[in-house]
Amino acid sequence: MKVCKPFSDIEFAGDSGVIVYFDEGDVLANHRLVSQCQNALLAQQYHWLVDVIPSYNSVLVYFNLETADHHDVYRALVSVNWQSETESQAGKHHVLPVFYGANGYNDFALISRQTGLTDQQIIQAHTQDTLRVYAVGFAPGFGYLAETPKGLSMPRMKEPRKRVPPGAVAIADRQTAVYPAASPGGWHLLGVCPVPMIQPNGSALLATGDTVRFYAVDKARAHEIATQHGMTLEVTE
Amino acid sequence: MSLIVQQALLPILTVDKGRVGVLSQGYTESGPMDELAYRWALKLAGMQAENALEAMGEVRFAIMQSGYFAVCGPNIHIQVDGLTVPSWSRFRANKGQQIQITSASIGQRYYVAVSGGFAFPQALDSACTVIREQLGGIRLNGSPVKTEDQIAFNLPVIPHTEHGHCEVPVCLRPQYSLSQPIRVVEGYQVSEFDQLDKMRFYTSDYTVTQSVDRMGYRLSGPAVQSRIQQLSSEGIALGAIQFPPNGQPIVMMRDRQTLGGYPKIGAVARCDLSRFAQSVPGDRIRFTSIDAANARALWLLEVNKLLSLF
Repeated sequence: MKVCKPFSDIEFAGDSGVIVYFDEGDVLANHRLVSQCQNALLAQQYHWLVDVIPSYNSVLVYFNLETADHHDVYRALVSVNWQSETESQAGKHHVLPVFYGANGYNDFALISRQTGLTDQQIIQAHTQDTLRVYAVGFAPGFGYLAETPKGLSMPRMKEPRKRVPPGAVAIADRQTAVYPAASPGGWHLLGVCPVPMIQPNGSALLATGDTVRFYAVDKARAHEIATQHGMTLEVTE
Repeated sequence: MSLIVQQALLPILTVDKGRVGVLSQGYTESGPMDELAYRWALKLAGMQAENALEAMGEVRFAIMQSGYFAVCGPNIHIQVDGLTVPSWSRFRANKGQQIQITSASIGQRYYVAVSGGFAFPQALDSACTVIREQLGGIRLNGSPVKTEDQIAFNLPVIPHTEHGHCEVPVCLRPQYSLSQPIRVVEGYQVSEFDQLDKMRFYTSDYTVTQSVDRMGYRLSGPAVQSRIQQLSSEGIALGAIQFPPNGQPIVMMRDRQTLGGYPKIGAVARCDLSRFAQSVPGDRIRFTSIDAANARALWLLEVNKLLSLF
């Protein structure tokens, strides 16, 4: 279905979902609309709204098909004055420590070969910018952070690892992320973040729209921070 | 109030309506794979039941406290102390008795509900066990129920009609035959599939492979391609049918990841999702498209059956 701005497209996502797309030409502009759309829908507390899943350029609106249909969702999407209403809702800012090059979390050699950067330049590139959470998914608390500098862009590994250790800080294309728990994964590893991505109450630390800046810490400091959070790092000696 | 699991060869999972509201944090939806059988089990057990055990294969429970139980699912046989009781019914089991459930088809799921509801602990407002996320379940770490586990349930209340026997008429039970095609509500990237590929999808048999779990069912059959080269990750709806580069469909089920970047032709309609979920490796599936309004109407009719009885 073709629709008016700001949506570039609206499609069914099964009998209980509507997915809306944005195509503003750049990731940040899309992201702003995604966040506004999500916040506006959640603010309305529609009785039929089950959940909203935002991503880079889309929002999946998941509804209760026993109390609403696609038309109710369309009506909500066009009637909500979401652009002005939620402009001011800024995300949280997080400053996250990383022990770069930690044993067991270290693909610096591969990254150097691909990008031509030295170890110091890689760390510089990964810490220099404030990054934005564009989506949370893949696993609970896994935040897709972008955009890292072009020079640090890495393809995914040909053979994904069977197990990436928890806390691993990894890069793929112009994205970076912290693995909240051990899982398979195809991203290249830079180090370990000693702050858990899942908070004690079970909710994810990062939310779509938040911003993140990484900074480097040494091994001793990393263990210290990890201990404060009741986390054990799998750093080999 | 409790029962003890005396034998469970396959993992038993605690389930309720699912873990919604936290999908945007990356938590999977979870919930019952066969929603209709689950809801019938709850309906039979009574108003207070809001959760159940999802089991496969043969299971034996020792009943430590008398209560009313209901077990729903296809092709199962239930005995209380060796005496057969019907599936899709409410029955009483007394302290000291044993409930044995056998399934004629390993891989098909059934639901065990109790009239007071089980006293499952909650993780993020849900009792669902998600092994992959190490979340929920009776130990809250995502581990399934196993032999020798003791499972508490709440004080049995008398079901709101009356004591004793109560059975779902065959005509109201969900249909599990795969002779009729599985209906698909088209959407997502459907316009990026050529007419020829869509035709191939709707006219071919697809075989359920061994790779079926609560995350998704992989099917094999004639490959279907879309014109899409690259797609940003986006929210995946329940029942979404996605095509990885090899063109073999994967139907995304209850424990699917929340985001993914494979092209999707649409999603299995809720009214056929229970039937599809009970398919087992080797079964052959046909798909057909259905209008979203009709799909919704058919689901409401199923829900109406639940409301019509008792």
